[in-house]
Amino acid sequence: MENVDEIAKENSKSNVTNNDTDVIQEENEPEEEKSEKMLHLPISRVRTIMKVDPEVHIASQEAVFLITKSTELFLESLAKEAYRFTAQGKRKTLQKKDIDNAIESADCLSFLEGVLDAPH
Amino acid sequence: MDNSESGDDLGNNFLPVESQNFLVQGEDLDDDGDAALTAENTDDSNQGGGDKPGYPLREQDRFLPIANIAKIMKRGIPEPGKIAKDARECVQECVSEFISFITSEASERCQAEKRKTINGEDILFAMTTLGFDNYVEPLKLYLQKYREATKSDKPLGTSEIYEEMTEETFNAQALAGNMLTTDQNGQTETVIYTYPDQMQQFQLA
Repeated sequence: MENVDEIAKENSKSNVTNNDTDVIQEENEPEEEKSEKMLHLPISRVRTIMKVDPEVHIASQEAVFLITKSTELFLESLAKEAYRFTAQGKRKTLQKKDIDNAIESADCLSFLEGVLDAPH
Repeated sequence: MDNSESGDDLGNNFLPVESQNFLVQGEDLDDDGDAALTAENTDDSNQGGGDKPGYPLREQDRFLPIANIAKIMKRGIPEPGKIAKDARECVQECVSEFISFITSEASERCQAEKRKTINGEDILFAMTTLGFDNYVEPLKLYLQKYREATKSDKPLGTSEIYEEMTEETFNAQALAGNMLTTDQNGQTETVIYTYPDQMQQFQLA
């Protein structure tokens, strides 16, 4: 039975390094590379921004992943929506006013009203 | 154990493995003592960012990196399109606002259901509530991929242990069988069950 204990010890050591919570950040894991390629925004920065809210306590890894991913989708949508106005103005460069117009035209973007008026 | 995507892991408090959550509360951080000494914090009002991380966030930490933002935005517009600098900067703000917006909605739902942890379902629900329900289906697919990618970590440890134990169990059972045979032959020598190898040496063909 001593052999079994040794093996269990070895495996628990390797389990410590294969930390589930670190799977996104771990450097040498092939699984982590897969997760990294799924995201094009730094998940840790997203976490930092979430933490600004005093009501937010704990969020699961999945939750942070989903927010990061949805932020990517949001970025694309916002750009696409704004570019409609760029094209309307027969321009090729997306400008701030195009974003303004997009915010006013889409209901779901109404939470952004007033954000652009504040100094950066 | 830290991330490789960005170095900005400020105040990152990870709970142990089992919970797979991270602690976002500011009350447990060391800087609380300092915050209490400041005049503006002597009353109980929550100063924005004053008592959470214990220090105001630098501007670059409040926003996502502009290069990443620009790259993703470009995916949404036709090839020759460009994005003006001020447009990129204002989208940076919009994006942080978006994150806060979704998070706050999800957090409210959590509190209403008397839960402490914001989970994936809360986020998806918030998307629907806030008018981003067209994101929900793609997000579910990504979530599935994410779960598969992170799940493959787990069986590594347990299956190895399991296989080793199976062998051991098998050996033990074989030994038990041999010991019985020995007794049946009327041999009186005492067999001490210590090492399988030694046991096998005692067996007579």
